[in-house]
Amino acid sequence: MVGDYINAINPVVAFSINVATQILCIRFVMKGLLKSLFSGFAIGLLSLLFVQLISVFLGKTFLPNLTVNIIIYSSLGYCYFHFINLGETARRIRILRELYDSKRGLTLEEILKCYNAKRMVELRLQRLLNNGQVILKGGKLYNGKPVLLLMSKTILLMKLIILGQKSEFD
Amino acid sequence: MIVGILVLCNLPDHSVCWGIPPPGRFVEYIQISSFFISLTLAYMITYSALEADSPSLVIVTTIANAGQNGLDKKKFDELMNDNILVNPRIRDLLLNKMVEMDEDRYVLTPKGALFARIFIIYREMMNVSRKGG
Repeated sequence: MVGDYINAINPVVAFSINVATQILCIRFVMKGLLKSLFSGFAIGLLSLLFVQLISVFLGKTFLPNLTVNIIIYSSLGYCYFHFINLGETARRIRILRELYDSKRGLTLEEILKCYNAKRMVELRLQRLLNNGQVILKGGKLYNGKPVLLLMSKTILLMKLIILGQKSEFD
Repeated sequence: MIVGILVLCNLPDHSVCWGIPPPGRFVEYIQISSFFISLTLAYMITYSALEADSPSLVIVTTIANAGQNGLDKKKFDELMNDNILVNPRIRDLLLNKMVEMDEDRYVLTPKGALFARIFIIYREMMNVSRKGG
């Protein structure tokens, strides 16, 4: 009976450990957000495995329960990754934050003054140039390493399957 | 989820699917619900991420579409403008009632302020100071 409940709450507890570890890591241990997310996920996964092993001694079968709990834990971890990513990179959240910081709201010109395509593209293009995904040669831009292009094609395919269009402007 | 649980509740005790009997105890329903909820949340968040074209994706596909000859940097700068990258997101905020117009000013609605506050507090918890976006 106790084993059943431990088994059921195991992924949720492991996910809480994941979140707590990530926050502690980014605040006190490391600088990179991605590194802290991976660390949190790994520690949470280890705790899940540990509790799953304990539940074997309480009469629960190991492999089927582990499979289900890993799927639940990974899905929650995936959601958390997106939540953090949203706060960091989403344009909508950035605009919301700019509006929150202003007392009386902002006009379109004021929004574009503090957050515009030029600045956004400069930052991202520099990142792509630095890691070789894009190459600038003779004033022209070329695709470099194929990793991001492959990822883009996968995302476009997913968009086509799920949304029925390749781009929001189609 | 409620429909699924009702179906599972009404399955006869002797019905077995691929060697798995139907759930019998409350705790088994908890596990099924967490499985269902976690996958649904993952799908929802993937869907919302796919809805808007990410700037990096737009950059890479625009350059790829130019082909072997490459894309002129000046032309690229012209293509990557506010009408493609910023204005649609402001329109989304208006459509989702997170922002409303007060004459010519965009102001947050209570829903928008709540969303902004969630991310601001979370960023403070993580001690992230850069602006992001």
